[in-house]
Amino acid sequence: MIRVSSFIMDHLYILVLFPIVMGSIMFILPKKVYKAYMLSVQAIMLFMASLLFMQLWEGNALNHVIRLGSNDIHSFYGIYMKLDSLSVIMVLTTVIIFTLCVGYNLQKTYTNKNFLFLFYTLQGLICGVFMAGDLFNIFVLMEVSTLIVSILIMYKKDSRSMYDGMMYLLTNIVAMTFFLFGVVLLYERFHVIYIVNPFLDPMTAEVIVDSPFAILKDNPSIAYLPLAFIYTGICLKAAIMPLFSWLPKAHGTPGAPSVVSAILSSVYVTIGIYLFIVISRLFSEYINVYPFFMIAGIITAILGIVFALTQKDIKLILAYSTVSQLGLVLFAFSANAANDIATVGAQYHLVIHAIAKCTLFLIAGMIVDRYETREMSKIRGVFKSMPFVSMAALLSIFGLIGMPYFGGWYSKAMMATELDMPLYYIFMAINAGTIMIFAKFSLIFFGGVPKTLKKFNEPVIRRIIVVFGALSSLALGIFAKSITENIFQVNTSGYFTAELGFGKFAILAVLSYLAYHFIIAKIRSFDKLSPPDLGFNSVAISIILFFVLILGYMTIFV
Amino acid sequence: MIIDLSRITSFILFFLGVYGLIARRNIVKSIISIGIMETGIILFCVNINRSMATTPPIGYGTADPLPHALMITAIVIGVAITAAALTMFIHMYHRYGTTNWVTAKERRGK
Repeated sequence: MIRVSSFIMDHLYILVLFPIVMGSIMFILPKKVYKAYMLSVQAIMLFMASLLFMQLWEGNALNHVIRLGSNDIHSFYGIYMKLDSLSVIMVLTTVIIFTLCVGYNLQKTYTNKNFLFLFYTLQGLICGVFMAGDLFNIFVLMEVSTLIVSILIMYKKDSRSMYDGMMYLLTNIVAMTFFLFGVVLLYERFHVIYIVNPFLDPMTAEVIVDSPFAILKDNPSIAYLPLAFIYTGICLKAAIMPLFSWLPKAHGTPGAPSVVSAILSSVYVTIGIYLFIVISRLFSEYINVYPFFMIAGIITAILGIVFALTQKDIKLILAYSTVSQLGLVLFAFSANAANDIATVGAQYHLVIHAIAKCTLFLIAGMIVDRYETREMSKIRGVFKSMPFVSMAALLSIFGLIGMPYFGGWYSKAMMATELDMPLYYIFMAINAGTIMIFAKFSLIFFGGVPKTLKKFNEPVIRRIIVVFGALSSLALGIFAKSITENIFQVNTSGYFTAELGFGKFAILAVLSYLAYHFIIAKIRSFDKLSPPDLGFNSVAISIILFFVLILGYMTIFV
Repeated sequence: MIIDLSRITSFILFFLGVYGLIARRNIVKSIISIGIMETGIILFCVNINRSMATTPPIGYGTADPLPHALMITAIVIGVAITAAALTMFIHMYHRYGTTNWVTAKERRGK
């Protein structure tokens, strides 16, 4: 076992290439072995990802960097792959979520070899982004995964999905073009495209060459233009406020299979925030953009909540709540970037959000299949007609809103460390808004079952999968302390009980629930606050506006 | 002198592409604008660290080979993206009967 672990640690590209190769082999296999084949490929991926996780748990190779090719610094392929705490836990989360989705889709008719090939390739590419060691490889992996996602969005060939898929493809390509220009400018000025530190000898951790960014100390304006381009690309991927309008259409489009919406909303958006964390950490000593992103995060979170409360479609409300959670993570990370516990809390919240949101999207898919409508006003009585599924949904919702002992409680408590007074109230307001969103969502559970509801039983495998996803949200809470200590290497002992107590949460939850039911649900003109439906030209204008804004911020304030 | 000229040209090309994305409502023109933006980037990148004396990085050339290698990949990605976008556009045209973003959004409905 140890030899297999160290083999995988030295050859990290296996996790990227294995699903792609296995997906292509599927084209020559007969149809009857598909199910066994799918499950065995996922089992092997889970095994490999768990081995990596266990290696990091035991503290081996915390900042593990491998060189592809040979270990001689003068003759290797020039590609680095790396592992650090966030990468490992996100790779494991990605593989777990893809396994849940493969299991969910085991009996669907559109799961033919084309779909599965694209699906497996996407898995390999997403794992590759988390492990890539240089910016150009990240660009390549993101472009290919954008293409695959836009094909998957349009997979069921619904009319509306044609427009949504086209819009998604073109806006994301424009964002990655900005990112590429930033990378090229960065290379021109510093001759570096690596995000790992190859200037440290991996054996002895001594500095081989001085960091090339050190000239920024005296003259930070060299990096303003490249960073503005790079941040514009990243912020579109992370759905920060002016650049979010592609997300609800892509995640909630009618022609997208539920598993595609689940993967997009849970894992794929995490890549945007992950890239933000990586780039900011690389330049944070010299160029401090955190105040800008703190405000951007607050605006994103609050607008996401307001837009979610105006939605009538079950998947769109979940998509907008993704936007608001991403804003919350960005806000918490930027407000306290120097504090280890707060940044770890933000990263842990990404993991919890991924699992809970994936489960909720899969559950929404099951509900839509059963009730044959996506409008929330027509869906009532889910507790009575689908009890297991409602239990799973409730557990996932508790995980997201921060019910004590679920994952969200720990991550939100950690994010709230040492927040100064006005920011602490804003944080609490965003939490209250999240509870209101799920108060609106949970209206589907109550009431009477409509008489036209047909009677069929969902496949047992799907019920098992959503219950497993829900129990994972609970497990992420119970084991939060040991995960954060062993993987993220922060010591959180003795402070959890002080920050976000039971009492505060209970008061917040009850007040928000009542506020939603008695105030917001009664305001008829609330629907006028629904988000503007931006066309492609408007999205392009917002991209260039954001670019000008961040360039102006860096020039004036940094 | 030649380096400054190529840098200026690549910035002009990039922002011309951005202008095309903002100001043109034809979907094919948006795809073409993305191609123009990528051309600007490629022009910028192959002129990194170049003077009149550098020779192309084939064999014993003196130019820095890394940007050239990266741009070959970027060109291939640009080709693939253009092909995929045009195929999607053809399907969209058969479904909606229009090449205009605004009309397509109206025909998509709610």
